[in-house]
Amino acid sequence: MIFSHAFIIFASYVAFALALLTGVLFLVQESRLKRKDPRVLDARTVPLELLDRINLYAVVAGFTLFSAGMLAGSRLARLEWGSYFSGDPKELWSLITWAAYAGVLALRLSRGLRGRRVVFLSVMSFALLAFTFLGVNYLTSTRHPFI
Amino acid sequence: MEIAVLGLNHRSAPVELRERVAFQEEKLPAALAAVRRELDLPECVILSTCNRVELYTVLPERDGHESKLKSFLTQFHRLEPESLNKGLYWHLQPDSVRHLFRVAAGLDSMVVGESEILGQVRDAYASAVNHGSVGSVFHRLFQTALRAGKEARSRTRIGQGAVSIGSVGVELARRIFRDLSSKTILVLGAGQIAKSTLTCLKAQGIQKILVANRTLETAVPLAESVGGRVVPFADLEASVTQADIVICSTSADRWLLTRAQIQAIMSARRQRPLFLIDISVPRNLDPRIGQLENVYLYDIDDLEGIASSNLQMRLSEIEACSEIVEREMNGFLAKINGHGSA
Repeated sequence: MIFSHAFIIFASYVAFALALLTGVLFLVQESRLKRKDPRVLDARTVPLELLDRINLYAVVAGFTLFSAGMLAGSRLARLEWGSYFSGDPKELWSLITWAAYAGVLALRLSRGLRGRRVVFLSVMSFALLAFTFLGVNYLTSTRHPFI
Repeated sequence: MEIAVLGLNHRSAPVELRERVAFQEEKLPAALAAVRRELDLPECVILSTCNRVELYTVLPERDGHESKLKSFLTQFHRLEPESLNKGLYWHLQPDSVRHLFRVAAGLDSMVVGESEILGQVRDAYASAVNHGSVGSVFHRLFQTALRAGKEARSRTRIGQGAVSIGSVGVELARRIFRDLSSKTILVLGAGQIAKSTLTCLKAQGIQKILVANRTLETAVPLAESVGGRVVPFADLEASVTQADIVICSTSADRWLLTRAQIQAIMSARRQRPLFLIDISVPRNLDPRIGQLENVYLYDIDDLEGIASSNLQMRLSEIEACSEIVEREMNGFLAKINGHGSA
């Protein structure tokens, strides 16, 4: 059970990393298009629309997996540590990260926003994720040794 | 044996002369047969495009054929003999071979590095093959030329980068949209550049074309010529809401669309990206529209700026491209000379 929790969470990180990659590419290309930088016509560029779409799908996939992983984690915590949520830094920062991506999705799906600002938010959310993944282990004491 | 070329191009002769000397496709077989029979030259390829007309032949010896080929040209096209005195060039080896290789590489084109010429050389060669005017020398010559032309384009950047307003527009659109064929394009006004940009975009498979013009008499023929639909000029906002790409080339004395209008349109289209090309002078789209998110506004200076920087890039590749041409030419000449003495 601990492996499925860790595996699902890790899979969500992969999806979020794809969202980060497409998001950064989107922001670079979008800004070149706006600034009329001739480098926008370089051969190896992916259309903005496609980057935006992959970014959205990756966030949806990442968010779904991350939610499932957190649910699995909380059930595991109930069994192992006695309660669903014990305020462990990993749990806390996971919730913050989850809320950030939930916000990105809410803006995209319910308010129909797309383009630079929401893509930027998805990129920024990854900073929270990176902290949850690595920063928490280095800077705080957590009962989560790895993921 | 001597490879020779007699011809004229966009630099040596004005279009009025070029169009009189051009060989229509249906007359090519007769011309090739005439060269073969009347001039007794078994190998001949005629390259006839809107920018050049060239007769490539294999002569038995260097001298004495220039005037015969010139008079063939004038007689075939029923021209005054002196009308061709200026404008024609005549090259023998190695210049004739170099010339063909440079033509195939796009170095001799009006727009340096353009790719159409390579296909035209291939067609000219194929058509001469079909009509029995190609022997072992020209098989080898043209195949080497086509390969050199391809190599020049793949090894250098001579053919890269859009260098016309229309093609820059297409390239930008392809950086914004995933699949151009599913997009809708709206044309405001009917200027020449608008038409050519539209033609370039249509070549990408765009099906849905809307045409709006103040005068219906201008809009209808344009819409018919591109398979588009005329939409009322008064209801511009509704048309822009449907469109993904807007080409504007009107002569209005005010902004046709303002930032506030586009802002409203963008929320109506749920922020789907909008690409606006304003080629009118003075501009007809409020430049502040470009500040809006998911809206990309390019005016004529922006497009020309990109086109000219690409052209500069191509020009800087001429030297590298010429080196490839020289190398291929020397290789070819060495081969046929070796072949001749063997």
